[in-house]
Amino acid sequence: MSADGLAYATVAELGRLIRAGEVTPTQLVEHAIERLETVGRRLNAVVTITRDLALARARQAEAELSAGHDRGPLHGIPYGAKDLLATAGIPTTWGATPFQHQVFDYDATVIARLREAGAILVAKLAMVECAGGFGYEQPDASFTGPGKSAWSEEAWSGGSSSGSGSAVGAGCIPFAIGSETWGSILTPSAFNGVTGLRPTYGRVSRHGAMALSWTMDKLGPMARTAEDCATVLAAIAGPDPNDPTTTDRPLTPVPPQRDGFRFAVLKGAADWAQREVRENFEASLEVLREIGSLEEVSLPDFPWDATASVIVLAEAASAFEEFIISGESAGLTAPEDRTGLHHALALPAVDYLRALRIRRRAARELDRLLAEFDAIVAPTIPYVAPPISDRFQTWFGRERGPSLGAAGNLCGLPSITVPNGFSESGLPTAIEFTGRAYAEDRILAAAIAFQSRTDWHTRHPAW
Amino acid sequence: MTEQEGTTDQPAGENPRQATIINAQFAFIAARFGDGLSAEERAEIRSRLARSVALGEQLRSVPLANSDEPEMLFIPYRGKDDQTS
Repeated sequence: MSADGLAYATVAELGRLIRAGEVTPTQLVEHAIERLETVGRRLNAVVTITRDLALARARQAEAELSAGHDRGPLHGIPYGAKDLLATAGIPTTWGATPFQHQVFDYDATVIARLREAGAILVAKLAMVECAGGFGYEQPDASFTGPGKSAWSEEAWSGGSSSGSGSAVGAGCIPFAIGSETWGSILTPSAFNGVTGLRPTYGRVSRHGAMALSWTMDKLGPMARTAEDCATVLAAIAGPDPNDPTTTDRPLTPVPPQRDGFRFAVLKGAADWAQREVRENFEASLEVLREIGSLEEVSLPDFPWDATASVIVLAEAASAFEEFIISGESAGLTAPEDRTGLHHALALPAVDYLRALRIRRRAARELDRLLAEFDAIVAPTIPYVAPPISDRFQTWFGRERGPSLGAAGNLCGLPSITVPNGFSESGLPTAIEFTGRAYAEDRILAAAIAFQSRTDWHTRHPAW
Repeated sequence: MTEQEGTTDQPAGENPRQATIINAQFAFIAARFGDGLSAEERAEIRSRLARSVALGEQLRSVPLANSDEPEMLFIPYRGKDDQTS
């Protein structure tokens, strides 16, 4: 296979090549590192490349496979992790100058589980400082510089899992782990033309991940296909005594279903979107009509954004209180981040508790709505990646209409975003499928069916 | 409060009641951080306070009953049985 083919191959394809003896894990690791050092660095996607460790693991994977010890579909596959996941002996910077030299002596559960599955960590990937919890208002909010989209160096990669999105999108690695509190997996996946899965809250252990919001943080895969996301999810999901919020509900295998789906379409979600986003979404609905039924619905009437905002603000201010009070937050890159959570220290406790009480009622009403469907769909982001030099207010300050982001994250629901076209300027657009809690199998099946009828996920930039 | 501390302002769009709440919360923040904040930072913090006060008002538009509990996860801790405490 050509180098270009290796760069944009899926996990499933690379696994077949390894087992056919056409490529070795060492070759895959060397290839990934070469691209991370060149393309990845150029996109500000990389913090640390774990060369020596990765090459040692690759040799171990080869030896194991030669001896007949096959750990499964991720055995020998290189990957990258957002740099908020603890890795023993390797810096974990949280994307922030004040934490640039932070080193933990243990691995996050996700890192340990991927190692057990045979996957090989090749890089810690760039991210918006402290996962964006300090209210950044521009792309330049990380000590590694503004994340650039795999599709244009002039466009933002999205955040906060910026390097995870652009490194996968630019063919440096076949998959990465990102985190999402509110948009941080889906947005960079959309802006980089990759497939990103936000699992149900509690499906994947948060142990060893930087805490931004204890009740809203989720970890999940960013890859080339929904099928690959399912493979990675199966490796990282499951209960963990180190994270009491993890669920012991078994992960239901993704069924081989290709039609007969029931889709809800979020009413008005595309009305305010950029023209190309709206047109691509409408074209996607035609594809979904071929594989299922469509019914337009509205979300139950709750202040979704306000409720999610108050929870994130209160929990983030508490999680980072010492960092703020000590004055260390003054070392953050974006000026607005340096005092970005000061105000949240004055948030009334009753407001936080009220938000939690609203969440309980809202989650029940939303589940009643979603129970009738396999997924509710909407444009992932109403705009394509904004220019890297623009402040968000220029792009995101506009009227945007209803979206699934606040409701889905507030209620801890799983969601997957898949590419569904391009803008006239050549930037990717995307559609998201959000499902009931613990119904990753349903949204993954729908996304796999969508990708079996489209080829947007196979397009890639010319790196 | 002095004008320099930014606590007596009532920007356009804020009613007197909102301004009072925002100014009181700002005074709390200012007291915690003392003189370490620049005028620009004070203005930014006050602006964000105004937004969070507005968020709180949106939450209070949802009627809740006494029986509407928050979703809380608390697991009582018990150490190993051979521990004495």
